[in-house]
Amino acid sequence: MSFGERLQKLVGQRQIIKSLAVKNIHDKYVGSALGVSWAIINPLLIMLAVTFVFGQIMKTEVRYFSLMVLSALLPWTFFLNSISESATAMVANASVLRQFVMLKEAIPLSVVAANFLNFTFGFAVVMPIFIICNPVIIRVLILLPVIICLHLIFTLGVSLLLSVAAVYFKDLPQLLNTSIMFLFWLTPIFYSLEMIPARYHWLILTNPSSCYVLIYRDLLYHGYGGRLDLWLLAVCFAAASLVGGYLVFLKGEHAVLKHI
Amino acid sequence: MLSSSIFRHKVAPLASTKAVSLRQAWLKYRVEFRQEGRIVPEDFWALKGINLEVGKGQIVGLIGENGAGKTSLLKLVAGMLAPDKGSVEVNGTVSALMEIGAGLQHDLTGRENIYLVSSLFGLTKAQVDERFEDIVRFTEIGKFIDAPVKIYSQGMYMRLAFAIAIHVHPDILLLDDMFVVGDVYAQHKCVQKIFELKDQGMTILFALQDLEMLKRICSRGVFLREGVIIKDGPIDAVCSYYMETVGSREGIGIVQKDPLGVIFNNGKLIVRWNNQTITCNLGGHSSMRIAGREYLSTAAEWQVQKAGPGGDIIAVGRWPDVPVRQQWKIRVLSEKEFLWDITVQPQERVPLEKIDVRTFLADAYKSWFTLQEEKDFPDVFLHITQGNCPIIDDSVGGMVGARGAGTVPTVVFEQQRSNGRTVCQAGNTGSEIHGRFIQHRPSLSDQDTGCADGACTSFVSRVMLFDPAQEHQVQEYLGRLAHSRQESAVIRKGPLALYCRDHRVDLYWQDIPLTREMGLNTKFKCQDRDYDAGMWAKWDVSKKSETEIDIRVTWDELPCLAQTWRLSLPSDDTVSWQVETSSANPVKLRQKQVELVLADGYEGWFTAEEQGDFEMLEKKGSGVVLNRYINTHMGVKCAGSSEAAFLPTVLFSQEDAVPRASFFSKRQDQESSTALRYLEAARQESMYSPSGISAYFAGKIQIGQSVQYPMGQPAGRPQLRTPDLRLKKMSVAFDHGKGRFFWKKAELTKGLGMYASVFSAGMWYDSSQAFWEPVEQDRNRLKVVGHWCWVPMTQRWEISLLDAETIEWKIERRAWDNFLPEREQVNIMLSDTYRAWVVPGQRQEQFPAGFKEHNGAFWDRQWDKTGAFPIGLEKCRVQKRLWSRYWLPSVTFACPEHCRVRCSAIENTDNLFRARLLQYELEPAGKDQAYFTGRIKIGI
Repeated sequence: MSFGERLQKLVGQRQIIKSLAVKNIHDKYVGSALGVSWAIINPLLIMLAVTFVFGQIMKTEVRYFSLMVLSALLPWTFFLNSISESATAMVANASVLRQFVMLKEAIPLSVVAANFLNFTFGFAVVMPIFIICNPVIIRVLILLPVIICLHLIFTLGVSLLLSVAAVYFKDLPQLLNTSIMFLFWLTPIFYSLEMIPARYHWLILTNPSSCYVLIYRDLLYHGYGGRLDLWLLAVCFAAASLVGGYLVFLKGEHAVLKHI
Repeated sequence: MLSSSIFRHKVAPLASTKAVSLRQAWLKYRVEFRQEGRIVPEDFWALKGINLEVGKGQIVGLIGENGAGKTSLLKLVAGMLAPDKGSVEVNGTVSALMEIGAGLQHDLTGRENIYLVSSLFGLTKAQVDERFEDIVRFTEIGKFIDAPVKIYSQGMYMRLAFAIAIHVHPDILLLDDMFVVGDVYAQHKCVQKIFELKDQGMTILFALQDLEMLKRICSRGVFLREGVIIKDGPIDAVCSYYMETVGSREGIGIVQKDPLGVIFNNGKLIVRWNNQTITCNLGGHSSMRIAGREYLSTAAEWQVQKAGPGGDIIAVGRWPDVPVRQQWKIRVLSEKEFLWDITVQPQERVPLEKIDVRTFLADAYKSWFTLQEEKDFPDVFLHITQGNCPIIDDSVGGMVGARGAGTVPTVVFEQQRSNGRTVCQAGNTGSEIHGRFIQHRPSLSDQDTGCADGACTSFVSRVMLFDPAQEHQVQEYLGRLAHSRQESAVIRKGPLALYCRDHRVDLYWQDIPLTREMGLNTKFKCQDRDYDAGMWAKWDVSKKSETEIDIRVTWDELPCLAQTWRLSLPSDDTVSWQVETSSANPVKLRQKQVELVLADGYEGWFTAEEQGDFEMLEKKGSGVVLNRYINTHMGVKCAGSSEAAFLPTVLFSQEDAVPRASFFSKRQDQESSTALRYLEAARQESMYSPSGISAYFAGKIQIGQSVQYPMGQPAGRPQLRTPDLRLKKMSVAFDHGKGRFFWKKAELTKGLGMYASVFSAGMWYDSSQAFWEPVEQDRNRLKVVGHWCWVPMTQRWEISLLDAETIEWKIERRAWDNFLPEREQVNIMLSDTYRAWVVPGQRQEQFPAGFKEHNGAFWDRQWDKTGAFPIGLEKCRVQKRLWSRYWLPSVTFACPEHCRVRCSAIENTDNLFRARLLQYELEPAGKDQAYFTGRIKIGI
């Protein structure tokens, strides 16, 4: 089966991916009274919390600090949830894999799809707030879908890689849990790049998430088109992640059923 | 939706009649054993070389115990797993019901599940909408369709899963053990539906424990055990085979030699012929009466100590409540007969009153017979087994048989026990078994009754089956039996018995026939004709004393010649065999051979210095020569501990000091056999038998489980293993006609090394096939003489180290007796590490990469030219590891101008030898003598 045939087949199985994604969302909110509305309520609550803590208690001088945080936190949460769920997805969906004949890409794809849906709901809600508080961003809003697209590709690649790697290395989900804290603080979410000494910038910029987060922030908070080097990095990271992740996935996927 | 999800899983258009095709499919799992905190990974092969083809519309049932590989096989077909080796091809869409519940989501309602699961099966919403009603109708769950499935009963649950799976409308449906739950009605409904699907042409693969269900549904059965297909055929045959072989694994042994199959299953002996079971119920079993209580063999705990596909079954049974053991030895002699030996081994003094050995035969058998009479089995089956059945007089032949109607083979039980008498009965079993039985009750000698420790053999029977279509074979057998019971000369001593009759010497050890065909035979060539002691010879058997027999063998075509065989039993474990030739005038005998033909079933062979097993041999076909060296002793044995072996070790040794080559071969003529043969080396002085009496062969055959090979170097065996010549970096070894030389520690030669070959009358004779004797050896020089066994020819080699870089190799060949060598070659086979060849001053080239297929005739010639040219190989650098490398020195082979070399050549051998070859072909030198002198120069 060539690569082209495989992709063709994957498209043919979009029904399955869709069903799995729906099942994923369904599982997430099963039994909860508010259901899918949590996807909207979550970012709003975060915004309130950040405004309260940093506005009233910490008293930062940054204007609309909560918006600055939120512009980075939402994409980050999407990335974080996608990869950490992907790392356990194969095992969690073992019964589905054992029963149904499908391309195994469907599992990480459905996880990313479900999280992406969540992300877009949340984003749709906070979007008006961004615009109202800072109308200047409208002129660069056209770039928003582009960065979302790149970010999605990047997340997808990492998810593919982790989903299959976690099958073979059972320690991976644990490792991920701890290293995520590092990643979180190495990513300029609760601070901006300007707040840290210039000699540490490289440390931040080598973290792929940072460059996406910084672009999101430039677009949504500063109303600025973003640094060209960051954009280039974002494209490169997305391409490398997808190609590398998929190659690893193809190498490992055939024995997945034996290990879950 | 296509079945496949994996690159290696091919979905190729097969011939339209094939739905599934597996070729040599292997599948492994890596199991991580956790032992005291450490993880020990181990590979576990779930499927081992599965070959399976399923036609379109076939319904195939997979049978096997848990863990046999059924689910793995289905997963391969489904494309969920890819084979680690081999290929899987599937033609059509697949839907699988692999797990109970089949992906149903507990929290969702039936309706939601139908949509979810169907979409996971690959259906679109529109398709599900269309089939929804059908699915709901089939499941019959009414309003529960809108209730979460977690409240469903098992039956509803199963029906829902099943309904969704079949409504995917796949071409191939895989069902894995799905009827374990659900009530009778649910099962019934599913079965009904499966029949409908079958009519629609769906291919279905089933894995199921319930054999009755399988028999109803499937037409074909595939029996898997430990990842291997044991049986594949009509479902009834496969199911019955499965039933016969289930039970405690330790108590099962199976020997299959088509068409005969013998299954030992925990005290039952089941006999099959062409996939048809000719026994019924308990099959062959024994029943002991001890202190008024019956002990059936099926009630014992059995342990099969040995069971091989070609060998024998040895099983030991113990009863929990009586200190008696039984040992059963079952040995399949050929595809139509086996030996059945039951030995009772009391562990302490027990009052053994009787022992019956019964065989329940299928009711297709209609009559029984002995040498004297034949009677029908009664028509009625009474309630109680036996009743008053006639006692059969089988004393004349020691044989009783049963004949049937239709396709059941005629079966014959021939008693092998020479002392004592068995009481034989035949009749009908009770109506519950509805079969026939034949029963042997061996008489117990005084020492047997209440016998103490030690074994008392009770029953040895040779069971033969004859194809019903070939009744004449039975008649021939009966005729032969009657004949042999009358006219054979017998000598006995201890466990040995020797029966001599026309053209046949039968050797028995503990009532087991050891020999096959003629038993003993002599063969030779005289006046260009082959003679042996077989059918064309005349035998005159005379018994000299209780332990001696003389056989005089004469030939009509050779009136001047006669052989006398003196067979005697000097001790409990030895047969002495001396052969003399007497002739009126001198005759010339060539290729003098003696042969001992033993039962098939010997697993290992040994000589003074070597041993091995026959397995390698059997694959190559029958009659392959195993060992060509000169030996004075050759033996065969069964593997395993000598006590458990059924056949005793046999050592065949020669006692006269004549060099003979020893041969082992496995044959498959009329009967399978193991042949041990001595062939005398063709020495000039021994070819003439002068007038009068001359010795032909003197030897002995030692038999017994404790026969040991006499230690020490036997006479006549050349001690030429490592007679090294050594000078500085160079050393030379001569190994049975193969000269090998080394530079530092690396061997430059390969395969046959330095060797000479002679071609005559369509055959090549290599020096490695000759018998070599050392003549002289000092530090730098070695002289040896080789005698060929088949042709009257000798070669005298002289290998000397002239200096630290030159080997001189002289060959002097003699032939006599009009033997005409047509072509003679001198060769050096060298390591394939060499990459380039050179003809000094003329050419230099690389060898091609790789070697050509072995085609039996020609090797891949690189260069040749008429005349004597120096030829050689370029030195080359060998990278052993990353950091260590060394040079292989160049090798040049040259011969002086006066040497009569016709042609020089450089070749690549075939892919079996994988070596480089330097070759001189000599001028035809005439029949008597030829010389060659060559020099091998080695150096960086």
